[in-house]
Amino acid sequence: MRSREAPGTRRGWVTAGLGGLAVTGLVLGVWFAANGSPDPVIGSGDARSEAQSVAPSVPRPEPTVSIAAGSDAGPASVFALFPPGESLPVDTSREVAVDVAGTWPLGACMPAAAETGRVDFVRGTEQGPEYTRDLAVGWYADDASAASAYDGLRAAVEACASTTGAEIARAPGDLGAASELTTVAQPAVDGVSEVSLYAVTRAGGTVTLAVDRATFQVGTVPAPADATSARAQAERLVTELCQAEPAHC
Amino acid sequence: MLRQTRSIGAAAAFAVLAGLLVALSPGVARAEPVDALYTDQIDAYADYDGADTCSPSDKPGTVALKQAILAAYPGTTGSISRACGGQSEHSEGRALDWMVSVGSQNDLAEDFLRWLLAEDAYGNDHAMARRFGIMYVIWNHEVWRAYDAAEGWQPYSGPNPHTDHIHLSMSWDGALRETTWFTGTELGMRMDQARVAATWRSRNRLDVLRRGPSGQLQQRTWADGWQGWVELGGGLTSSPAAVWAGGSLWVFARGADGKLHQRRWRSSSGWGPWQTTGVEISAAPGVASQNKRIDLVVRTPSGSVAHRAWKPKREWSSWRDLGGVVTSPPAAVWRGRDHLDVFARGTNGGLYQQSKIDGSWTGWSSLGGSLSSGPAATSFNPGRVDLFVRGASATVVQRTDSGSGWGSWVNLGGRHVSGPATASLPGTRIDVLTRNRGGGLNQNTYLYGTGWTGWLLR
Repeated sequence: MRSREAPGTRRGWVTAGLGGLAVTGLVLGVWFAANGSPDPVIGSGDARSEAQSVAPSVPRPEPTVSIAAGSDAGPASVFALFPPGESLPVDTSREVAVDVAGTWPLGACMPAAAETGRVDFVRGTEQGPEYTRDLAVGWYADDASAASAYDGLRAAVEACASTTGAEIARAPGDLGAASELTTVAQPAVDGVSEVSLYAVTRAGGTVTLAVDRATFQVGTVPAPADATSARAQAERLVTELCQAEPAHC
Repeated sequence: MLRQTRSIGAAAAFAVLAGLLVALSPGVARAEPVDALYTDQIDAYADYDGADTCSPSDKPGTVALKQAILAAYPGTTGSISRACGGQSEHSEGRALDWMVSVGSQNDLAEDFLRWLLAEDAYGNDHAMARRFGIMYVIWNHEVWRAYDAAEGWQPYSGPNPHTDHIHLSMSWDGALRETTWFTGTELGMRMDQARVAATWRSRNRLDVLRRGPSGQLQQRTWADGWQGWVELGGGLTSSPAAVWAGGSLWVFARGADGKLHQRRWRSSSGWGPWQTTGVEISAAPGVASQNKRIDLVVRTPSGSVAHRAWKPKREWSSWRDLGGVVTSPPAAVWRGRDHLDVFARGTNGGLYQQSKIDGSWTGWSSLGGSLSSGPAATSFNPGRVDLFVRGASATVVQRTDSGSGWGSWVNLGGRHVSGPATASLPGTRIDVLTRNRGGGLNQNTYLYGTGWTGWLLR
């Protein structure tokens, strides 16, 4: 079992976090000055009139980032939850929130069991044409806390599926120290099923969750091992974490 | 009565749209037959206008798109509205999932998308997508966005790869039938706008005329072999009608002023100028001849049919309104010395007939059927009339009255993007011509003693 990060590494995170915050603030400030406030989030207000006032090919800016009051500048504030530098089409929006007390994005499910040892947390949502993508990463004080959070998260997904009468299928993943791919298909209506594709991983003291939600025709719901989009997101998150903390991978 | 069941007529119009898609499907190089039906006015690319309400009822434009596609690709299915949730135009009834599999039906999908995104004859990119008000399309791991059309197909990163269906989201304008697909032409006339005219000049020369992409008259001749199209200018707003009579080739069409125009070719002087009759018409005219006499039938602005005749050394007769409300250009044919038949499609999509026998008009009577074009008629033998129409499934169907009453409908098959034209050499052959999906001609010939040749591309 690998040991938790050295204190010096922790200080490095804080330093990097503060620096990242400053850079992020500077970039956002310059961008706001040049462009005004960010585009409205789809679903708020009159999207039709708003869309008509926006030039069709104007890309969206980087995700809107919010940091909860009182949270310290840990690794979550500098972590690239979504690929940096992407210009999004106007039909796609992203939001990212850093909050050590944040909840895992489980949709309508019950929240995961109370956790111990969490030191930082970031979650974000991408909404695009015909899909929603939720990503989240939690940092824990030690591997045991992370393992507990990982198990709690998997249990929450299963409990959620059972309470809604959804079909659930699970398969082990091959990412990090432990990982699992889960497909949850809600009961079909008119031949269409709302499907959530989960990829949960633990790498050292971190836990990641990638959830892709979309509708599928009955009979076409992918098996967990074939839910490649969620797995690809989880793989990217784990790779990012491993690059930041190679000792954990 | 012809005024019955306009709603059924509307349904027939959808069948027409569907047939258009059918015919344009495989092997389309350019959507020329369709382009000819529109002016150069076209909708702007749809802006992105994402779903932000819960209104899961099928919107009429989406329904029209669905019906057109499903009729064009029989055996496929599609769905529109869906329970609200997530970010989807399905929850507003303005998105269609057309179920086609990338594995087994990729050819259908590619045909449809090629048609949808083709450049039209006016140089408008992605013409049909714009006319329908398509906002974006998702298919086989890729997305096409009208609001980012210059980028073409881009990778789609959503979890559903869309390999079992094509997703089509429509703008509100498209969903509410406010785009030029719905407003740019009179729906029931589309098949007839693309129709050619055909007439035998002699036993070894067939003249075919059509309205070109920019409204010009074009002529093509068969004389022991097909020759190329010849440009004859003009600004037609309907398909032409043509007849060989009294040593002249007569051409009639609706002009840009909405009035009936005529032009005449003589062997001694060639083509004369266009002349206007000053009469407003609302569809392509129909024409028949017998013994140097010419009979014209037109659809009036109110939708009724009117008739007039011309004889050498006489003026045109005055117009006579034959009543009814028809939804196609009328057709006329002499089956005997004193028996003129007039045919047209009614508001219910069925075929109607009226005859002038011994100088008296009979009034309209129904011949049934379900037409997606106006009729064409010819007389192969005295007393006999052969009728041809484009049916609901885009094939040409025939019905014959040999003098003892109408026989049953006979399907001649094929897939056609226009209504049929017909011309015959009495006792020898009947030719039926339509426009094909590549912009050329389909020809099927009935040879006495042999039967039909089947459809040949010309």
